[in-house]
Amino acid sequence: MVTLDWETDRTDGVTLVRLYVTAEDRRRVRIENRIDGPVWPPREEGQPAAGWDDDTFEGVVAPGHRLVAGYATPEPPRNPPAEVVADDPADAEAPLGPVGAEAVETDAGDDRATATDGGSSGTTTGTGTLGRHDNGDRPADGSTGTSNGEEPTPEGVVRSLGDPVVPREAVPVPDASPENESSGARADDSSGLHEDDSPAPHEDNSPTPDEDDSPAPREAESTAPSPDETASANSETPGGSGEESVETGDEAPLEEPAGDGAVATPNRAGLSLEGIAQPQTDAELVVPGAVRAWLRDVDRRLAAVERRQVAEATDPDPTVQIAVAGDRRALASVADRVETLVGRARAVEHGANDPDDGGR
Amino acid sequence: MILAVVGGKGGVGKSTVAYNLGAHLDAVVVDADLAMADLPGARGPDLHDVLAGRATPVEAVREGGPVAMLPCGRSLVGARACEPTALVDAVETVSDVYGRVVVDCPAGMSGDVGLGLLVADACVLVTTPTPAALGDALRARALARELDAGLVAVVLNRGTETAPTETIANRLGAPVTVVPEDPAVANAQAAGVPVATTAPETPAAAAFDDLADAVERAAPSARR
Repeated sequence: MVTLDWETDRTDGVTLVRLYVTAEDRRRVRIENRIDGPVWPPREEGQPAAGWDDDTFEGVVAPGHRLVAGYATPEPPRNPPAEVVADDPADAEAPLGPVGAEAVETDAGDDRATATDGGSSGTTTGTGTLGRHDNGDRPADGSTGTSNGEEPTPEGVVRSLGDPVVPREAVPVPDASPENESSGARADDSSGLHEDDSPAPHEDNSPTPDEDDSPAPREAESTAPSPDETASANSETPGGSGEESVETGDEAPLEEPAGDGAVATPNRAGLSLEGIAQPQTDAELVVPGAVRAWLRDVDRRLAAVERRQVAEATDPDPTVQIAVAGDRRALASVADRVETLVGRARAVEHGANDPDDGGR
Repeated sequence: MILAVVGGKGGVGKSTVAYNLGAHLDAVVVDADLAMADLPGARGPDLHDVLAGRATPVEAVREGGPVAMLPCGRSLVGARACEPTALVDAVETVSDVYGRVVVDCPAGMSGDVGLGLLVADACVLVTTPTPAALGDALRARALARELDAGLVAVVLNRGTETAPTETIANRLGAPVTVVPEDPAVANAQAAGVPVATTAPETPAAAAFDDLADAVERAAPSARR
């Protein structure tokens, strides 16, 4: 038993017809247009979509899998717009959906090509996605899906179209040394790596590496510059809300409380407790994404080196070693910094205001 | 209903269309241009925070303005730190709570455009009557079809009466709404309000109204 439902919609002199076929067992159905006029099937690359042949559509439907087809015609709608003209039991192996969806390039493809050349004079009136079957079992007709026969996934979309995340190189970073704090210039990769202790990353919340390592494989080049990442982490405020500028001076957003604190805390002990406690509660909730991104990148680099060492038991190439050394310095100074700040935070929490105990 | 506004080429007026359409449809407008947001912003958590796991999608929606918005952060650092595939869940969450959502997709054909189309039930294609814009519109249209976001309307922005709307409708396969060039549109956008508020009598405001009607007529209702 096959049931055909439909919707029609007339816009701008064109009638759009949506057909929905359901069945109680696996059937191969052929549906013919009953509207008195030409049928404009959906087209892909100029060819009628799978399942269409002149004014008939053929497909396989099964219980739980609605077969969907759509087309357009210049004539006004009538009821029914189409009828089931053939309805046969289908093989269990027959793929669901429009017939020929997977093998159009064989004989059917040739037929269609000639039909298009001769007849429809390039009228590409698509009805969008209506000519698709509904659930699952989707033929691999495009590249945005994942692998064969699956619905597109967010990951598949990113894989095939490209990761839209801003490349690391595009993010301007302040010069890492505190002396040049106003410079918004991009730190050159190699020079940044060779600067001795200058990357001086300052994080005022503990960068617990609690993060998900799984999502969005970012490029894990082994020569990635660590100063870059530390600096980007640096200008990210913990709340992340409304940062206006990415080229805040090196010390600006996070050092502010520290620098000020040294002067102001003794004078307004009561007030400052509030002022300092606020960002900390925010920061307790989550580690800023930039910090997580940095830690993730470092993690990847180290994992890559470890893998190579295990595999070859030889020296990794020197650029990687330089990168790892850079990572180590940056991590160490972050660790120092974090420890200092944690100490100060504790001190403030206990009301023991000694602004200098965290200074350098 | 989730509607994606795409265009392929930059500068054709996607954000303007998304914003005004959001006003007419009473929808939440999500600014999904992760790297170059250009819809009105405000203080508080934004899409970067949502995609980095620092905020929930619903708490990032601003209801105060003339159009409910989920703005995007404007910093490259924020854009770098977010997880783009989370956009799909975020938009669906907003839709579950608010109903209608208009996703303002970025220019180009990169992954973020694809994600906007993937989550959408339908799309509106914005173009201008120039060869470059129309070429990109065709590519965006092909991508929309691949990702099952049915094209419900084409907006010919800054169009004139002599524009070849019929040819465009035939090539892209959807009815064309012409939004005429009108300084009132730009002024309203700059002021952060829909043109229907500042200049309701203009042809542009009427065009957005028509467009919203076309979307409501054609948007897939069978699915949800």
